[in-house]
Amino acid sequence: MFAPSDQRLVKRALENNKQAWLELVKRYEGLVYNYALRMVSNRDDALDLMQEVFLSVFRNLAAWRGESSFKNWMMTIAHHRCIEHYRRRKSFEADYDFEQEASTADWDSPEAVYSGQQQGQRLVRAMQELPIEQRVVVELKFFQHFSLQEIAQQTETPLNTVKSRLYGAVSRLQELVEVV
Amino acid sequence: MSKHQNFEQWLQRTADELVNEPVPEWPRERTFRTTAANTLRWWQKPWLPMTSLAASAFAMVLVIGQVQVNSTSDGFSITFGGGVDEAKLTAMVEQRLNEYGAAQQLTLANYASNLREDFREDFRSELGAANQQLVNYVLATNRQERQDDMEDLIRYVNAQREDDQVFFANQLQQFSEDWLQQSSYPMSPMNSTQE
Repeated sequence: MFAPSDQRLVKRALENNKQAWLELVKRYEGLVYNYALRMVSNRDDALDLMQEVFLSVFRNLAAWRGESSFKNWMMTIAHHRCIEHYRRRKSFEADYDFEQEASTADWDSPEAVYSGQQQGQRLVRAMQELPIEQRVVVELKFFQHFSLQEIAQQTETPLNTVKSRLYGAVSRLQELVEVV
Repeated sequence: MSKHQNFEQWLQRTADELVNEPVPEWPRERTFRTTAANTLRWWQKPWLPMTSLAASAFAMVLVIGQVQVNSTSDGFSITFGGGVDEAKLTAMVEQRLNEYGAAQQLTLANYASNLREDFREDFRSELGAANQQLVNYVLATNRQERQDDMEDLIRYVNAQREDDQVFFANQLQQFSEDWLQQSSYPMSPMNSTQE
């Protein structure tokens, strides 16, 4: 059986069809959850972030005109929510001098994110050391397979800035992974 | 290949090989919010403001268009743009009637002219055919008569010739008989001298 297209599901969701919306959510929740997981390295935060992303996507669903693919459009929203989440958390940590939840020790526990995948876990752990802007570029380039042009559009930054961020991020990751 | 590029390849490989974590169960339904405007049934929709808006728009159209509704013995009439009085209406009707009459006259005249033309055409062609027939007949008859006349003439000439032949034959006969009679009786020298 053919799965209905994103466009059709969005149209039906806009007509208050709950099932269509849930189908759309199920289609992309894995992508968004793992994106959030790599961004915040914490399952609870990733879940919160994913929920925020889907709430935001639903609120703005009527604004999607189909100029870009639904996935691209959704990932742009995810990027914005991620930045907001990160800033909120930063100010929260600054206010209360709160120690970061995902400490280095957590990465060795069986409950750690991507446990059992040594290489991947090393990479994701190293990504947490990068500034958020660089982390986003690495995520979109290597995990989501977007082109640099698409990354520039999604993050609303000039292409050259994206290139320099990518270069900086790869160099820093190289140092970190070798150290780790 | 540089170290940087090697690392980039490792990075891509590792990212591709990373198995995504399964999404834990979460309240997906909470992200769905029915929009109030769309959930209203037709009987719940705000008809009053819409009706009043429509009525206002209709009233504005009536005022701007200077609509007048007249009731006469013939029925109702609705006029736009200030309306027309009786005299003007009569004049307009007369003008239209005149125009119609003129158009009709023109049409009739054209019709009559065409009819006449057609008749002439028909008549001319029929007369021509009749004349042709007559000429043919006259020519044929004339030819026959001339032939008959010529035959009569020839018959007459032939008869005349036969008569002449008979006459000359008789004369010859007579001369020959006379000559024979004269030769059978001796002729006097005088007679022979005389001869």
